[in-house]
Amino acid sequence: MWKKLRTHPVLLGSLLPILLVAAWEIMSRAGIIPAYQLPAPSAILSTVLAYVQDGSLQNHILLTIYRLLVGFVIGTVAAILLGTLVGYSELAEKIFDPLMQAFRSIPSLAWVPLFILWMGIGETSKVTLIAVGVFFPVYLNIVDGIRGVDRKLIEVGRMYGLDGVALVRRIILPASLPSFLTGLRSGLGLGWMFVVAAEIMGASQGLGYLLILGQNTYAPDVIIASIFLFALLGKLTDWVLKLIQKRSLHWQDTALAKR
Amino acid sequence: MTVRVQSFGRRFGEKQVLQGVDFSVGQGEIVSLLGTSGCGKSTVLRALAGLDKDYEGSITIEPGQRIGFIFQEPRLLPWKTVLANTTFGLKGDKQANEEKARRYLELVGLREAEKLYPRELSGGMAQRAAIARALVTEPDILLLDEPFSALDAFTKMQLQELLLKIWEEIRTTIVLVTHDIDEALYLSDRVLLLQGRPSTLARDLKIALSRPRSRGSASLGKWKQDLLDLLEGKDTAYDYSLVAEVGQKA
Repeated sequence: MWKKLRTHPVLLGSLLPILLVAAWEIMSRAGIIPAYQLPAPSAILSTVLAYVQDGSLQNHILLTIYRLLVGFVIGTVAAILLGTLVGYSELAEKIFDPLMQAFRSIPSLAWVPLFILWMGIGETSKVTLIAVGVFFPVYLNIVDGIRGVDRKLIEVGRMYGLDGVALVRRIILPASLPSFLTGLRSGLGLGWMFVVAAEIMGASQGLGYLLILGQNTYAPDVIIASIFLFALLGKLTDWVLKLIQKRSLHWQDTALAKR
Repeated sequence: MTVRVQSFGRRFGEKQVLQGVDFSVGQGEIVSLLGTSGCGKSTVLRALAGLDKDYEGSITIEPGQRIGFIFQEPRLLPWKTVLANTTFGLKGDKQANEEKARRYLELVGLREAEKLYPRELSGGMAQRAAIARALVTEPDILLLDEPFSALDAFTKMQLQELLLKIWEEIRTTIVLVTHDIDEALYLSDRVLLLQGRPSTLARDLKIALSRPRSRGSASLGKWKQDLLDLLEGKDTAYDYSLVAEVGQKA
């Protein structure tokens, strides 16, 4: 029994974080770490609770998630449309892919000033930035996935008289689903990165705004609380996608699927 | 004649792989295309199936004949169950299709496995499922590309028996590509030997032997020796005159 406990992955994995937080709390209380730089975990927790009580934290979180989702959906839909076309048609690939590769080499944050100039500091520029960030990993994975579809399975489709849209729908899309879902997950990760960037560049609400608020009001507890919430939400949304991935790819014959 | 192939040839880049191949297949006949690997036998079959269109010569298939193809690998769609894979080539009412598919799964001995996914199947089971998928569309001509070559000896024999049993029932025309002389002799009404560089039809051997055949029978042994001699001729001194002579006879 002791041996089982000792090797339990959750227990084993949480050992170090618990120790670190405990050490942090003790050192903060003892005054070894100054509170104006790194407040104690308990102080951060009470800040979070205060924000929850006046209802503002919920609003910040909801708005951030809303921006992320809108950007994510727009970026993903655009990536599906263009990615399917480029992956399937050689002509479309020759026309679009060089341009896409060129755009991809622009670090997405470099768009920020231009987007603000064009669209102002409103929701539009934020959502656009997030959509651009989500677009590329999803697009690249779809194109790769479609190109990587086993020629042998395509032949099976052709043997049963499929071509064009029917071939895409019945063979190519399901076969490239694993790659697409991988793209969605890395797109979501980038989406979180860009929602932070978008909210830092100018917002009056949202978790990213809390980061800046903390910086401007010398409140490290607010900053750390937002960082922690970003991590938590990021993990949570990724977990949802992972679940979807697991459910829709249960047929896969890979070591990962059996874990 | 259900299938007629005339002065068929195929080149890949600079290399002429097949040249001047003529043969025809009658209704309900089982014909094997036999040859060493690389002789182009699969190429002929892919052209018959319409998967390859860059050939020389002509292929005539009686109009209205439905073609089924069984590949060397099962090529099941990994995201579909055995049942869904079997109904893949069918159109129309789902329920009726599934009923039909179940009948063929029964025939190949996979009735219990209909809910399984391809990754859960053994090689033999997967190939059985592939056979059911091809049969369910009720093809008039069944093309098989070394369908049993990846299987162990016992499974291979089982599936050969299965193929004959199916043929007894529905009398479909069968063209089988194989490099296994025993398989060709055991199953076929005619064995076509492809040989040479580029390959030509070296022999058209009629196996006038009633079924069921005994795998070890003396007459099959004689034919086997005959074919082996021809095949070996290729590796040592290649006797073109002999091939030409036999080719003319055919």
